[in-house]
Amino acid sequence: MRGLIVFAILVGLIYTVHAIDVMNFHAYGDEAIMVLGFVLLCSWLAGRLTARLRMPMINGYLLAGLFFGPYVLGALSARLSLFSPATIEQLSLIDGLALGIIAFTAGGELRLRELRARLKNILAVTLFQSLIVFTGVFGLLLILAPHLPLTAGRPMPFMIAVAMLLGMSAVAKSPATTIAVITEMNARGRLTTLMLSVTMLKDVIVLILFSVGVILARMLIAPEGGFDVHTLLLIAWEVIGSLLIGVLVGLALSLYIKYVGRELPILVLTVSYLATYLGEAAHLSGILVCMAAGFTVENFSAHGERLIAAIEKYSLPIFIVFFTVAGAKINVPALRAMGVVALLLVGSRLLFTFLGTYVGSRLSGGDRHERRLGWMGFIGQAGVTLSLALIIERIIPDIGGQLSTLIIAAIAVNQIIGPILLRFALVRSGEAGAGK
Amino acid sequence: MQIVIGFLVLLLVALIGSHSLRSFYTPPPIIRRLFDNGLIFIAVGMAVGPAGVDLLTPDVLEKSGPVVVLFLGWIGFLFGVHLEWRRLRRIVLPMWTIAVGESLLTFALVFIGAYWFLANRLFLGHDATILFAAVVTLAACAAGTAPSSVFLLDDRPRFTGRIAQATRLVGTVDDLPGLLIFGFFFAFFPTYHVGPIAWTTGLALATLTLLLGVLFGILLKSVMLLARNEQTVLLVVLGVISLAAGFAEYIHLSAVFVGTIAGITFANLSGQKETVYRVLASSEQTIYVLFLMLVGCMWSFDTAHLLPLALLYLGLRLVGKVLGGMLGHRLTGAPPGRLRLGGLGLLGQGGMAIAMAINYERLYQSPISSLVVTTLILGVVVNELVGPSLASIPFGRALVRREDKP
Repeated sequence: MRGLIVFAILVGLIYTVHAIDVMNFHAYGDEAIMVLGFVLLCSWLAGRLTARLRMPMINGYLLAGLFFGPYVLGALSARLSLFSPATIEQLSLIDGLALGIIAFTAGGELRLRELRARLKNILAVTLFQSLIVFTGVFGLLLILAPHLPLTAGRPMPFMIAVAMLLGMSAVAKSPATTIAVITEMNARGRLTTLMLSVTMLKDVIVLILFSVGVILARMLIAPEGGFDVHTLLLIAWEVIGSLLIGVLVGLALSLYIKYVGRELPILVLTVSYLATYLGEAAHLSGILVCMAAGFTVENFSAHGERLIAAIEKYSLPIFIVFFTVAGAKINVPALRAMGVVALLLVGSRLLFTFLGTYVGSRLSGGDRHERRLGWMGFIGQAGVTLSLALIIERIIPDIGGQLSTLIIAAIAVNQIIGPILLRFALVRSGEAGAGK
Repeated sequence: MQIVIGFLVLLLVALIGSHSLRSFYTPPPIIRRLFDNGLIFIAVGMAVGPAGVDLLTPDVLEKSGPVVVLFLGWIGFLFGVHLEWRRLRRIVLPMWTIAVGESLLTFALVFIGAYWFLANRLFLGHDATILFAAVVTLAACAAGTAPSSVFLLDDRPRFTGRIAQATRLVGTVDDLPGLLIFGFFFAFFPTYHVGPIAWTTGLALATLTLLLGVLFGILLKSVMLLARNEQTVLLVVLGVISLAAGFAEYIHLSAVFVGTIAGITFANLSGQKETVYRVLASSEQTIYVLFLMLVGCMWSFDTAHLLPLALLYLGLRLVGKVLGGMLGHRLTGAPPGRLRLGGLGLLGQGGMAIAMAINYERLYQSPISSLVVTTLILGVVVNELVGPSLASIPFGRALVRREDKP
C-alpha cells in the first residue's frame, strides 16, 4: 500500500512540475536527471508490484517504461510522455554498461566443472533449439509466404530471403532478460545452468547466423552483388577475437584483484563500457568479451565471488534504467499494424523453441524439468533482435520497413511474456531462491 | 559515449595511480595534502580538459551536465544529512552566535569586496542579476568551512576546551547561512529573467525551493521503509537525490540547496539516517573524485583578472575568518594569546564550496562566470594547502601525521 501511495505521489509530482510553466518563460532546464530519478523510483515500485503478482520485477520496469513512454501516454499527448527522444538517447547511454555487467554476471555464473559434466546436454539443446526454431519458422513462413501481404506475388528467392531473415530473428533471444531474471530470482541448479550456458552459446550462434544469413539474403535479393568473403572473415574475428580478448581481460582482472583489489566496481564498470563500445569499433562483440572475462575470473582465479559482489553493488539501478528504457522503446503501433502476422511469428517461435529444447534435452539425457520447462528461458527478445531488424531495413529497402516493423512487434510480445515464462520455470523447477 | 569511456578510464587511472604512487612514495607535506583531500583530481581533470590536452572537449563536458547535477544534489544531501536538530539543539546560544556571526561576517566582507571589484573593473553593462549572482556565489562559498579540515585540528596541542568545541560547531554549520542566501538568490533572481522579478513571484519560488527539499526528504523517509538491503537503499537514495536535483535543475533552482534541505528533512524525520549515511559514505569517494575531475576539466586560467580577484577573495576571506575567530574567542572566554587567531583554523574549504561554484556556473553562464568559478576553485586549493600551516599559529603543530583518504 505504501508503495502505491509513493508511486501515486511521484507520478503526481512529476506531472505537476511538467505542467508548471515557469513564470511563462518556457525556460525549462535539462530534464534527464529528473526523469532518471523518476525511473529509478517508479520502475522499482512497479517491479515490486509485479513481484507481488508473481511476475518478475523486470516486467514492472518494462511496463513502467511502456506506460510512461512515447507509445502509451505519449500517444495520448506528447506532453504526457516522460521520455522525449533526447531523454531516451541520454538514458540509453547506460545500455552498454548494462549489457556489459549482465555478460560479466553470466560468465561469472558458469562453472567449468558443471559445464564439463553437462557439455553434451548443453550442446544438444543449443544445437537442436537453434536448428528447429530456424527451420520451423523458416518453413512455416515459406509455406505461408504466397498468402502473406508482405510477400504475396513476389519471386521465390525473395520469399526465401524474407522467411530466412524472420527465421533468424526467431532464433535470437535476449541474454539480458534471462540473466536479469535469474539474478532477481537467486536461481541455481541444473535448469539454471542449462539456461545460462545455452544463452551464452546461442549468442555466438546468433552472431554467426545473422552475419551469414544477411549475406545469403543479399545474394538472393540482388544476385549481382556476389559472395562477400570479407564479411565471413569479420565474423570469425568477431567470435574468436572476442573470446580471446575476453580471456585476456579476465586474466588481467584476476591479477588486478589479486595485487591491487581497490575500486573494483569502477573497474568492472569501466571494463564493461570499454568492451561494449571500443569492441564495437574493433568489430568485436562486447557481450562475448565480457562473458569470457567473467568466465575466466570465475574459473581460473580465486576471485570470482569478489567480482560478482562488486558488480551486484551497482547493478540494480543500472538494470532498472536499462529495462525501463527498453520498455519505453516497445513499439505499440508496430504491434497494432502487424498484429496477426506478429502473433503468428510469436506463436510459431514458442512452439519451435519448445520442440527444439525438448528434442535436444531428450536426446542428451536431460531431466524432466529441462525437457518440459527449459524452453521458457529462451523467449525474451530485445536488443540483438532489434539490431537485426534495423539491418534488414537497410538491406531490403523495398519492404525492409514493414519487415522490421513485424520483427519489432514480435519483440514487443516476447519481451513481455519472456520474463514471466522464465520466472514460472524457475519457480516450478524449485531452483528459484536456491542461490541464496 | 566518448565521455563515459574517457572519463571512467581516467578516473580509474587516477584512482589506481594515486593509491599506487602513495604506496611506494611519500610526497612532501604540501603535495600530500592535495592527495589527502582529493584535490589532486582537479589537477587530473585540468590536465585532460580543454585547459590541458583537450581529451575531454567542451562539447563532451556539456553532455556531462546531467551527471554534474546529480553530484550537486548528492553533495547537498550529504551536507544536510549531518544537520540533525537533536544534536544541534544541545549547543548553547553563544556558540550559535559565533558560527552564524563568523559566517555572515565573512560573507559580508567578501560580498562588498567582490562587488566593488567586479562592478568597477569588469561589469561592462551586463544585467545586474549576473553581477549579483557572481558576488553572492563568491561570498557564499567564502562563508563556509570544510568540516573535514576542522576534524584534522584534533591533533593540535592547543585545540582543546570551548574554543575547540566552538570551532567544530562552526565547521559543521557555517556553510548554512551562505547556502541559504545562495539558494534563495536563485529564486529571486532567476537566470531566465532580465532584471529582478516581482517579489511575490520570488517569494513563491523561494517557498517552492524549500518545499521541494522538504518534500523529497519526506519522500526518502517513506521510500526507505520499503528498502530491505544495501542495494535497494543505494537505489532509493540515488533515485530521490536524482529527482530532487533534477527538479531543481528543471525549474532553474539550486540543486545543492534543494539537496541540502532534503538531507536536513530526512535526518530529522527518519530513524534510518545511519543506514543511509553508511551507503552514502561507501560511494562518497567515487562520486567526489568524479566530481573533482569534472570540475578540473572546467577550470580555465584564461582570464587576466584572475589574479587580482583571487587575491582579493583570499584576503577578504582570511580577514573574515580571523575576525569571526576573534568574536568566538571573546564569546567563549578562552585564555588570551594566540588562540585569538583561532579563525585561522577555519580556512579549509571543500566539496560544498566547489558545488556552489559549479551550481552557479550551470545557471548563470556569462562572461564573468568562468572567472568566478576559477577564482573559487583556486581559492579552495590555496586554502586547503595553506590552511593547515596557518592553523599551527593558534593551535600549534600536529602531534601525529594523519593519512586520510580523499
